[in-house]
Amino acid sequence: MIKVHDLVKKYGSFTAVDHLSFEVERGELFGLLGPNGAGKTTTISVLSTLLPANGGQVQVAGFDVARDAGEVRRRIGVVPQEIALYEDLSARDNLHFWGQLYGLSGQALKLRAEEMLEAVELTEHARQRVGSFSGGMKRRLNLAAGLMHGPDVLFLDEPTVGIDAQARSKILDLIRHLNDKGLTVLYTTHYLEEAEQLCHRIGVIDQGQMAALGDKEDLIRQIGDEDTIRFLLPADELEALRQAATGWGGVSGVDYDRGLAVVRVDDGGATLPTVQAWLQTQGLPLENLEVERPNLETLYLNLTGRALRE
Amino acid sequence: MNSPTLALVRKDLLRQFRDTKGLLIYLAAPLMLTLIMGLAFGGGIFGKSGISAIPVALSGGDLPDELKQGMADGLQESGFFTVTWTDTATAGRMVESGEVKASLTLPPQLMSRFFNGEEVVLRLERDPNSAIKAGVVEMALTGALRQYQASEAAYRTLWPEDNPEAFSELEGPAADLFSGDPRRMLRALRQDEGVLRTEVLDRLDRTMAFSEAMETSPVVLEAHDRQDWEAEAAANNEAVMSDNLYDLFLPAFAVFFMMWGAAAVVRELHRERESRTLARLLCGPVSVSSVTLAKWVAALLTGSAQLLALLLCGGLLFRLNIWHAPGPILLVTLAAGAAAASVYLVLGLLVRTEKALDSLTTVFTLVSGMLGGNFFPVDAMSPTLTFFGRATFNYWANRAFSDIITHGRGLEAVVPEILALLAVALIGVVVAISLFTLRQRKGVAA
Repeated sequence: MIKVHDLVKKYGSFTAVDHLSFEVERGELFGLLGPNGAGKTTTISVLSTLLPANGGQVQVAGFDVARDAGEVRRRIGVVPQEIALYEDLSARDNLHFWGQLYGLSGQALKLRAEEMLEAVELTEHARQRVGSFSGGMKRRLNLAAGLMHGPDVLFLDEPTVGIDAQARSKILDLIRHLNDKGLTVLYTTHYLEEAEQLCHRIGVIDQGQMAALGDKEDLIRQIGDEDTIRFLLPADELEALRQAATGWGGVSGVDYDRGLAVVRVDDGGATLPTVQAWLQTQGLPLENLEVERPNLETLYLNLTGRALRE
Repeated sequence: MNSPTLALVRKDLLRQFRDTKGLLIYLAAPLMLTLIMGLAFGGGIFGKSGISAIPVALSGGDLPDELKQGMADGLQESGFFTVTWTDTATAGRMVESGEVKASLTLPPQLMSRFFNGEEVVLRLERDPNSAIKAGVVEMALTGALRQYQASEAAYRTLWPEDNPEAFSELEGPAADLFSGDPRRMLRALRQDEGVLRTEVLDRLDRTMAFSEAMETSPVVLEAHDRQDWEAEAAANNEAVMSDNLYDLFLPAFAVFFMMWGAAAVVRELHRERESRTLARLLCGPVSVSSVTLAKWVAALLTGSAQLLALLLCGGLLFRLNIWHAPGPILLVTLAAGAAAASVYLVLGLLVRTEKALDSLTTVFTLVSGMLGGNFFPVDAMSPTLTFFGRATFNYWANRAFSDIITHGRGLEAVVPEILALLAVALIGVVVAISLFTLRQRKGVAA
């Protein structure tokens, strides 16, 4: 449904998207995961025909975005990161407008708007001005506006930014529901847990390049199946730790990161008492001690050298 | 216009309509100022200040001086006129020179005709370039003369002895009977009853006939425009200006506000850009041409509605001279709205932010208003200023409104101005679409 091959997008001398390639199958919920400035929004902008590419080929719903922009636009729904709604109009007027834009009219338009209002649980607020909505309500209506014309592909650009957990949960449930009904979704986020919960496959993007691509298990396998034990350690104790660790069994490495010892082990739970005992022996405090299972955050950290929320 | 474009226009108009602050600034405030201007200059339904003390010349007739004075006093007491008695030729020259707004020529034997119940034809000569005041003169003179006629009829019926002409015809016992002198009256009554009875009955019959004639024979006012004068002015290419300040200033004032109104609609383009709704629009099945055209139509309709509202307000409340040519007024309004929409759309696409647009439109509107004759009548502009003014669209709008409202002209007179405005509108739309398309190709449209 979406084919991106060697996509390049530059703003002057700055390369926002750097030879990016990925494909999204029909009915798939694909996540583009990356921090702010990674190139996610630029990628969606090119895919939705808003920005021209500087290189590469992009096809959406079987049409080339550069040559057949009109055909692409008719088949996509876009939910931008911003609340792209008319705040001085009511929720219903907004949906009617976006529906009319795609040629809906009369009873079909009214029915579709009511259906969408119900889907995002805003029927009771249909006549209310959007400007008076809470952040969560606006986000839900923002999503509904992108769905009014029943698109084949939905681009969701960080649709849960700035809203509370409850509102986020409602939006994620709705997206899951839409995808279950066959809608192809390209979802960008910098919330790792959203990508983990929601997406069939995830592309990890950093500095405009695809750092990793696959389903969650694939990605975790890329960084191995090891646990990590972290704790506060004075730098001059690192050598003593390394020597002690050689005798613990299951330890594959000891590193040091910004005042924390990082011990990679096969089974973190089993090794933890040994680590605690060693710290007591050395007369060191048990501070910032934690065990991490391998996850996408770890993957991202490994791939890019920085955390997603940095 | 296709469905997405119509949806865009509808949306823009809906937003304008629901923006109460905007409506207040762009409609209520100008209407309020129109009202103040009308009260200051026009008077209209709120007072007589606009139509008081209109200079009028009276001539002709063969009335005794006493009656002339009485008629002049009667007209002046109405509060509308300052009356000058003169001969007919001088009265005509006074209309031509603008010294008076109309001249009224009375027919010979006026009182006799009154007296015999014959039709009385008065000739009114108006200054056609002061349509409001000439119209008012006609209306008020007719009213005043009818009132005068009715008063005379009633008076003469009740006090026939005050009619010197009637008494001059009386002889013998009848003259004694109506003399008011008791001795003569007694003498008359002692004379032959048959002769006296016949005389008295004859007088009463004539009095009743006069009274009935007054009721059935109206004064006919034949109004004539000084066509020769207008033709002469046109031949000399001289603009003949109304001295009604409201006629002179309100249209230009309304055009000036319409310019701000059009700018406000175009400002929405930047607000949509900043709120990302424009980006969302351009991801939909909407071409750049549609977005531009829709914004243009919305600005045209908003600006025209605003302009029309101000003109109607002036026309209804302050007798702004628009009712003689409603069609041309509407055409000029729409053409001016179209030109304003195009010009401000182009300005809107030359800058990247709302703030920059605000600065640009403020400077542009003030300079354009100054050059185009929004701060003073276009007729009063010097040739140099007119030369530069022609480069502004508002000059053509002001010129057209001046022709219709100030000079009382019709559609033929404003065809060049309408064509100029439509040309600006067309060129502006093409330039705006080109600019927007260029921006989209560069990826900076939204």
